[in-house]
Amino acid sequence: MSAILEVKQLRTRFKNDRGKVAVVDGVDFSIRQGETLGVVGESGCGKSVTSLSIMRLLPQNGSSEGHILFEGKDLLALSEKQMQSVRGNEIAMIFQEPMTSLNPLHTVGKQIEEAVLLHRSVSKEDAKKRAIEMLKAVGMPRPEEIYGEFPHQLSGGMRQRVMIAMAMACDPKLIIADEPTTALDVTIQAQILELMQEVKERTGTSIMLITHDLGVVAEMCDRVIVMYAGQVVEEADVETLFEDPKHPYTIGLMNSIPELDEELEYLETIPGSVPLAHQMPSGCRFAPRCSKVMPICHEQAPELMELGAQKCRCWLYAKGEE
Amino acid sequence: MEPLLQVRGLKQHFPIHSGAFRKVVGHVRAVDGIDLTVYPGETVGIVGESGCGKSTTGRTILRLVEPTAGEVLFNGKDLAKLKKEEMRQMRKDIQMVFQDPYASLNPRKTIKQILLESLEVHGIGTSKERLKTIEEIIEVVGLQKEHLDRHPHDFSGGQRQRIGIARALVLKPKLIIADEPVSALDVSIQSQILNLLKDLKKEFDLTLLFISHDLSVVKHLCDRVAVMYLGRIVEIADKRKLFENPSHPYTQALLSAVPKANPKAKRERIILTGDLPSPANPPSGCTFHPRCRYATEACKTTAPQLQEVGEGHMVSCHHYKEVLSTV
Repeated sequence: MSAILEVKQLRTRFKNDRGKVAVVDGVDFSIRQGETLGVVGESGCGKSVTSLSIMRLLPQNGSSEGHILFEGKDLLALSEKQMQSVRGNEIAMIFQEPMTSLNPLHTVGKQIEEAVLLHRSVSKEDAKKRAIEMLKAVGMPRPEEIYGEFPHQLSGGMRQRVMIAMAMACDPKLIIADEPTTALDVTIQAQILELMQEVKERTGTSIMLITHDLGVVAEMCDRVIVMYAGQVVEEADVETLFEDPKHPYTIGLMNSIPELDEELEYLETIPGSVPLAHQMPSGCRFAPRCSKVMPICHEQAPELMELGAQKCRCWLYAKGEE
Repeated sequence: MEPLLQVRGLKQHFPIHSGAFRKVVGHVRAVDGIDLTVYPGETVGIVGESGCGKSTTGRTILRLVEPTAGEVLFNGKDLAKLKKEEMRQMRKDIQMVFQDPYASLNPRKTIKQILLESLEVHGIGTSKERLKTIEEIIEVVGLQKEHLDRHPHDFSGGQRQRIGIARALVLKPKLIIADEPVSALDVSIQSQILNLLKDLKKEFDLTLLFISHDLSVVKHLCDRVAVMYLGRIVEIADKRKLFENPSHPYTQALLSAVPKANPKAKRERIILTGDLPSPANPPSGCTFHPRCRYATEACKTTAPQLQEVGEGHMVSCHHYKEVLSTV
């Protein structure tokens, strides 16, 4: 299967008083047609900035280098105008906070319509039809009425359905979902995950799912990349990742979550906390927190190495070492 | 054993005002008749989704908001009837840990000032003794003495939560109410705090009322668990019984909704339809009936009472037998 999105050596930096700080530092990955790729990591690992870089939605002081190939064309080389015809049309985004990403002054119907009118040459009537059709498709009760309602009249789960309807309105080839269920309660999260799964099966769109929740990853994703401190530290298909995690960070992350069907007296922990972007340790960025740290880890940064179908950025797996 | 905390028929109704004269037009029944007993040394969890009244329950017990009705017996004394000054004295024995470690520490004070404050307010020890106490406590929660002179902004979220815990411990309280103490933290930090709480439980013989939306966390830490829905406890049992034999349809749905970190796990998910009803206008009868797959006519008219279905296992459902048979 061909890759729909290829990110090569993406480096996103932000300018501040102290100079330029790289928040995403040399990230490579690809998303295949119809695949759900999970991006996992803790706050500050660069997962959201990666997605904003792809959408070219960085704040003023941010800039990206490298290549983001979407169906072969480099998004970073497009003009803003060309980018506008990609954004919301071919690549759509679902954000974490549906209340802050919906416009409180417009009805939800108008907001879905807006995307359709912008990217398709259709009449207003057809756009309205499309909006109602989308609301129906995301399982909204009374779609005709909801069309005329404002975001504040809806519950959190409903608002997230509207976000998904909006994202789906132009049949995008790729949806980037940034923590789409984090703000929701578990029972509502279950509804939304099921909806996303159904949408994907129906339309064959690819999904990049950004989350910190390994449970959500296990349920939704085909392949996963694990990010730490602005870099990809491990990549594998979902079953391999959960059965045989390689990077000490991935292992630590998995063991630090309490699970419903196991009982442990103590959880494993990863000591310390994520380093700040302007205070990156030299060598491996995880070394100061790593339980398997070796002398070389402090001296030299490991590359993302291929281990069969899996990739891992760790000296433990370097050939010829040790 | 004598219970440490006994909550009986606790209600917290917030008035809804409307119109020019702010007439009361209704009530939000945030907490609507809760009975809960906590024994010394145990950790009781309260779980539920947003808006179920779990946080309000915690705050009402401590009288951070005055209860509408009900009794809160702490060591036999009814907290709801205490005078303000008596209640202030009582807070020495009941402390709270809050969710947001960023919002609950005064940014202008040093950690030393923050920790000393409660000792000073309650007039405990000489200034030398106070300093010694906080120097000990700060190490107990995994920070160092050197940290005492710093301000909250010098610390990460996990460290701030350690400070929040230290502040609660400083008075050697008999009961700690922790309201979502790990929800704002990343998983790797969350596990550090959970382990710390487990250690402290052993070291100080703490009694803990742990409020959380996260079932896995509650299961990890608690001895007994109460599940809340729309201001009421719908099921309460020993942790093991509750997680192995959930007997309320809501508990079952809640448990099945948690995504499992195992891609091969078979998913038998009970998807609840609809949203949480408004506590200002709760459904008639059993408040869960519009979302319940076992609901019958009786559920629409008669509210079920909590009834014992096993040792220490209480469920409020007309159809618990049927529900249990599906486990």
